Amino acid sequence: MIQLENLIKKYDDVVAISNVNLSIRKGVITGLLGPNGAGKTTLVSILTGISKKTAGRVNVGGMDLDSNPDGIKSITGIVPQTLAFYPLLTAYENLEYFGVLYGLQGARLRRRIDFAVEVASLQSFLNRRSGRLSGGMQRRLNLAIGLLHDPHMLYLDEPTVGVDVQSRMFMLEMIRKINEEQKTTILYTSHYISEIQQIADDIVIIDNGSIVLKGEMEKLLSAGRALVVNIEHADEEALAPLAGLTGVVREKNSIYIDRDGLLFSNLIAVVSLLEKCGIDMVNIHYNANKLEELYLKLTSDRLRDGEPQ
Amino acid sequence: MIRFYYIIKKEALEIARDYPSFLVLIVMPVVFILVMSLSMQALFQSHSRFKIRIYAINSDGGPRSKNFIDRVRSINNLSLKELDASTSPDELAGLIIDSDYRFAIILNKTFSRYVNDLNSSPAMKPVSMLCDPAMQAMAYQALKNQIEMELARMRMDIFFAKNAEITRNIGLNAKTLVDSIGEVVVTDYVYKNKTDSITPNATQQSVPAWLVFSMYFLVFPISTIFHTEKASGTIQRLRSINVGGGSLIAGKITAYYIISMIQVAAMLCVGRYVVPLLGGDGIHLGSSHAGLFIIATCVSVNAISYGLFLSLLSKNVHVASGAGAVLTIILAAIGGIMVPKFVMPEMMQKLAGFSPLGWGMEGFLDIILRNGSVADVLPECCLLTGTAGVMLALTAMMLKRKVM
Repeated sequence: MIQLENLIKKYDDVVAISNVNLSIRKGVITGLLGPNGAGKTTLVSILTGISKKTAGRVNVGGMDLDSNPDGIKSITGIVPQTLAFYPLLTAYENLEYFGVLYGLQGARLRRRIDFAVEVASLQSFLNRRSGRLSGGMQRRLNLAIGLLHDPHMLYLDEPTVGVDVQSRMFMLEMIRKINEEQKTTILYTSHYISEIQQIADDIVIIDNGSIVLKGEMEKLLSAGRALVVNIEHADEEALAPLAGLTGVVREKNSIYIDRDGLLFSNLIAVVSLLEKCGIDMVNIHYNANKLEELYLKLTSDRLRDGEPQ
Repeated sequence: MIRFYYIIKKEALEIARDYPSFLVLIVMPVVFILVMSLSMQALFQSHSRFKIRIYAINSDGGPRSKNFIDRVRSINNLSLKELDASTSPDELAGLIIDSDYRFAIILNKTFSRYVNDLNSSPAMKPVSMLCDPAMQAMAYQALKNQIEMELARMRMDIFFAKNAEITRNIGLNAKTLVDSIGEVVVTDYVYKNKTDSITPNATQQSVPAWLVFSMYFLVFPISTIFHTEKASGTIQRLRSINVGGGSLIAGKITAYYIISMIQVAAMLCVGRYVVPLLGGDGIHLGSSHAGLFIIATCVSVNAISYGLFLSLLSKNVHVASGAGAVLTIILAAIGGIMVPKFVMPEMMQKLAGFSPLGWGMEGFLDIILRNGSVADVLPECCLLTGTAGVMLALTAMMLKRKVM
């Protein structure tokens, strides 16, 4: 759906996107992760035609960004992180306004508004001023506006930021439904790694303007460590036999078990040893923190606030 | 076309629902015009119902000074209240500061000697005048002139009474001569179109100034809406849609133009129909309605361009509102909205020629007061549309560079 070749974006001397080559599969949800200032927003801005690239080629849906930017815009929907609508207008007036700007009118406009309203479950609040809606409703309206023109490609920039758990779950289901039923390709940016892990089929991690990881979520998560057993306290002497188990590693109070043919026998061995030594388990996670670990490993855990953007 | 209609509709709905902006654009100017027209009414009337209140103390006590007080009392636009001669200077000063009598005249002990002896030049002046420092110099000067003229008349009366034989011999009618003092100048107004002349009144004089002033307050809703769009990312969303910056600016200009015309209509209607209901003089709109429409349109376009330009120039809504308010008030003061240009020093009058608010006000005055035609407002219209064009071009450039 999207092909980027040697994409470069510079702001004066600052390189925001550095020679990026990337392919985004059609009909899937791709999670885009990266620390603050990594280049996520710049990348999305270029893909949506808001920012101009410095060099490279961008192809979206078979259309070249240089020769057919309007064609790309017509199949692209964007849901910014901010609430990009008019708070003094009602939810319906906002949908109608943006629908018309997207080129819809008459019966088609009504149908698309009905669809977006139903997907976002906004039926009861259509005549309420948008600025007076709850945070969750506003987020849903923000998303609904991006769906009006039936985009083939949808960019979601932190669409669930600042909403409660219920609204977040609803929105994730809604996004998954849009992807499955409309076959919409989605590029999903979020700081919530668990959210990306939950919803994305593919993952792209960007840092300092370069892609540091790309691949299918399932393959990434199925490789390497699968289980983590967190324990109450670590008794070095008692836990020494763990070193003899292949695919088992202990780091402080966590014991990691790799995903291989010995997963279950290793788990039984670890639990038996802990019971024998009288060490209590705090919890056991399957695939837990996998993506987060990977992310921190690739991007380092230093704070990025205050660094040049 | 349907897109354009929805852009205008969106802007109009936003302004209509933004109550603070609605108050600033419609309610404030209407109230302002009512207050200014009614409170300034008397100052503009030829046969004024307005009376300057003055205290008088007769320290002289002679028949001449009593007669002088009666003469001053009989002046049309003065309301005189005589106080006891024993009133001390401090008591009198206290009365002037605390009461609504802002002036006092004291006929000093030398008064009778001064009027009786035409050669006298006493060290002490015959009349002293006290004045509230808050009073305008023009009011003080007008009162002083009236007192001095009455004193001159009185001395001439005395002179002619003492020398009746001379006047008889030279065939002079002394009474006619004295009565004619102060009554020889006839005032007539000069109009650009004499066929349908208008008598100026407070509403005619105050509406154009406050109308133009209010129109430039469009900067508030324009900057509020623009910066809300910018901060919320709505402009970015619009940018991701195939909507050109030109359509967005044109939609905004059209919507604000409609609002601005409603503003003009509301204020003129208040001046014409509401002020008379409250006892004031209604506004006469002149004989060129086309001229009125054209100057209103040019002022409106200039005010909108000014609002858009300031919005783009400012970093956020607070800067835009603050700078907008300060700059509008400065331009209004320079342009003669608050203080008539003719009382300004020469340098300030030259500066007034650079204020769009001044051009707008002169244009409205040409139609409403000077009874001018379309041709009479063309110079102001050229200046207004020319500067609007420059501001819009700069706005478009900044919009492309900073936002789009």
